Amino acid sequence: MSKLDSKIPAGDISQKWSNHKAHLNLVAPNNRDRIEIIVVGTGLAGGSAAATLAELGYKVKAFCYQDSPRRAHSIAAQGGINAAKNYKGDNDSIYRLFYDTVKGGDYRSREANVHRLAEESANIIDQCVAQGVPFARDYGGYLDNRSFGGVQVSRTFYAKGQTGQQLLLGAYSAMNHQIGLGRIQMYNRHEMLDLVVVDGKARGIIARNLVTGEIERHSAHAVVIASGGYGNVYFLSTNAMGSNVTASWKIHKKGAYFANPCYVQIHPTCIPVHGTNQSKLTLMSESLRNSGRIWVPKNIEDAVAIREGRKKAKDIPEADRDYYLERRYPAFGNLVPRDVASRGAKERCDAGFGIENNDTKEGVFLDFSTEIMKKGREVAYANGNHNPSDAEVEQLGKKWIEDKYGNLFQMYQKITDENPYETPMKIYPAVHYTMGGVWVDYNLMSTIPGCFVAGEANFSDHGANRLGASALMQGLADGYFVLPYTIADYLAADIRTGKIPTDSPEFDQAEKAVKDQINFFINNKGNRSVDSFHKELGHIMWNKVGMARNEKGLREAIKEIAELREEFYKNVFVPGTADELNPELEKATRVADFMELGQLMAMDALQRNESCGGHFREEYQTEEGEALRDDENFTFVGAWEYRGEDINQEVMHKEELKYEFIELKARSYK
Amino acid sequence: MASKNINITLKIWRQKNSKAKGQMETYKLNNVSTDSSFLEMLDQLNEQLIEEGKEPVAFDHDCREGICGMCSLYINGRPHGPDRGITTCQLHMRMFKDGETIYVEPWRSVAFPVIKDLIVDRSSFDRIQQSGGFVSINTSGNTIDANSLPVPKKDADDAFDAAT
Repeated sequence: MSKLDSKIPAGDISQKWSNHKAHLNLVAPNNRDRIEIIVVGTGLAGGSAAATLAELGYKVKAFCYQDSPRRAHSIAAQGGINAAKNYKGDNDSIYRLFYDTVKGGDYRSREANVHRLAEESANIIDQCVAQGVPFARDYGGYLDNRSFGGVQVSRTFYAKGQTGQQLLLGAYSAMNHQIGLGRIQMYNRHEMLDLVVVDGKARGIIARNLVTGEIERHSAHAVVIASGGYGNVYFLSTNAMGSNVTASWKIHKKGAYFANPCYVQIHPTCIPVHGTNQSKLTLMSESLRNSGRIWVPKNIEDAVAIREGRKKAKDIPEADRDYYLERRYPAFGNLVPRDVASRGAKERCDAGFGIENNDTKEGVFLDFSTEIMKKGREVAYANGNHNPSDAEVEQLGKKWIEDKYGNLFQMYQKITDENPYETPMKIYPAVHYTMGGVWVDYNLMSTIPGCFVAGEANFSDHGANRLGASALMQGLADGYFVLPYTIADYLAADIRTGKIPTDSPEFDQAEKAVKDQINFFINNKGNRSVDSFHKELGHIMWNKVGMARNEKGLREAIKEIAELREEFYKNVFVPGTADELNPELEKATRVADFMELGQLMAMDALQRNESCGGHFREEYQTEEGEALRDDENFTFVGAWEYRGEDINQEVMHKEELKYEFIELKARSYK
Repeated sequence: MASKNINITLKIWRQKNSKAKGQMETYKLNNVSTDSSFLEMLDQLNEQLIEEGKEPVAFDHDCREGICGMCSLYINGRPHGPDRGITTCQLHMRMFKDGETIYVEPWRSVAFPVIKDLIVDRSSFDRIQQSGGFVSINTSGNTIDANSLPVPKKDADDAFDAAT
């Protein structure tokens, strides 16, 4: 039976959120310290939620697997955060940000949620500036902006190429204040391994102390999951090594529906794979596409020559370069959304024009030479030099690039040993973000009462494709400005509940299940490492549930993953014991969850007989190779219900998406 | 520079837990690609150890792209190794020669006791921050428009450089 009530408020789109807030129940300040809230994950969404809730007066317990909350992978976000401030006066507005995001999501997101996001975006920037976040500024002393993919305005605020880091440090600073006051109890090096549900409500978690191995019981009146995305199911992704789906997956198994798992974002500009020992993929920020032009050689012999080292990029004259995104999409050029850019790169490399000399010959150029000369000329002119030499122009241009993107260029050089100021960067698409996630209603509550999900871990705002610089926006909107209000509405019923006891049968059972799973892995007499299974899963996922999917491949993937999972339980070897720090054991429980999720992702991709955003089915494309949606039959959210160990038994429920304020159109960036 | 494979000898600090004594152990690792990062090389060592039924070396790491601050090794007596302006995860094996012996230790500081092998406890640093190293502004968002107080570009740039 479906439990999907999105609770979208009635009324005009621009009034929904304010009307909804006005009618939410409150918890009086003097009652808040009778209420305990658990927050799992301390990235932008979790960190900002924990800090805000603690400041409001609730008792907060926050958990993260790293040694400090400021290590969450939000810290690696590079390029920027969107907000509808219209500081540039280029005709931006709340409506336009709302529209761009819905279109960018290929008309598969909830209108009301996205509009709320656009409304709150401006507050986020004000908040961060007040916290002291050192955003880039122009010479007038005002905040600077740049453009990101899929938009024709400059609305992205940034701090060089380290925006996520600065925003997270802002939220972390706010958390530190509350930790120092004793309002947040911080549990570093702890991992949530199960949710505890009592009388149908989320009332706590079972967590493992990763240093001592102790299994701990923690209770609360509500639980917030902000544990990030599941890109690591592909093994190679831009995620951190420890990023995992476990918190989201465990609540899924306890009754939280999982929505649109097949919507995965593959980011077009990442450093290509160098070898079989590769442990992760490194992102090169989308902001680089403001200045870089993407190309491959027009002639296939040139591509071969470059791969074999006989020619270099600068040996290819301008006329022989195929700036294929500019060619195919004149209106947006290199700044098309990520899914469009990624498929563009794949198309050219599949046709044999790739320029990287690795196993798969996959790589395209991201070239800054045009921008270096253009900006160099502009700077020279501004300095009064109206007739600069080419050498002067080049020098000034490189300095300009360094000011804008310095750390990104340095990072590229360290990893590849090539100098991107002299030769174009080589890039290729890589798994980066997951639009799918735990299903939540308008209050960010899952189908388990009292279990809220914020940030990338939930599914709600980005539809089938996320626009660049929107993840930071969503994480902070959820944590600072949505959850604190909506969670109060739920908690208003708990002001007289009192502390939730941890010695109930539900806690006993959950703890036992966790210990049983751990003991299984420790005692299993296998001979293959966890990583070897993870890599194999990653290959199946990338090849068959990756950038281009088809029915045959998806059916094979479902079968192969189920077989791999069986082999995993038979043959995985976890050295060491459970009552000590044991990274292999940590990996084993995470990979076990990835095995199940991978199968569900393939199942979700199989039922969605259309192409939209990051989900591309080869059978459903236009003549020009663009995604072909089927709005009549697939304008819904696929929310999956767990039905036991056999993932094939999961049942999909549909939340129909109604568009009242935006007209569904073909998503064109030409 | 094209990649090649090198053979190295590693001397690594092993320590069972915070109460154990610990000592340096020697390992030989062959066929390490110079394109690999230092941590990928340690992954390769660990895969070998697991195959031999031994316990892998525990070390802190997460983002592997030089931004989170989790990784923390002393390599040949220098924090984060021989290169400048990077963290351990950004160090690549092309900085080492074929046949080289590499010393790998955890952070050496009384304030950061060893938890296991190469992992240390840095919570003392967090405690310092929690005792006043933060901006004490509320997170209500009901504040002035972000452009109300212009900040000179140079100040903003310097603030960014200081924060990273």
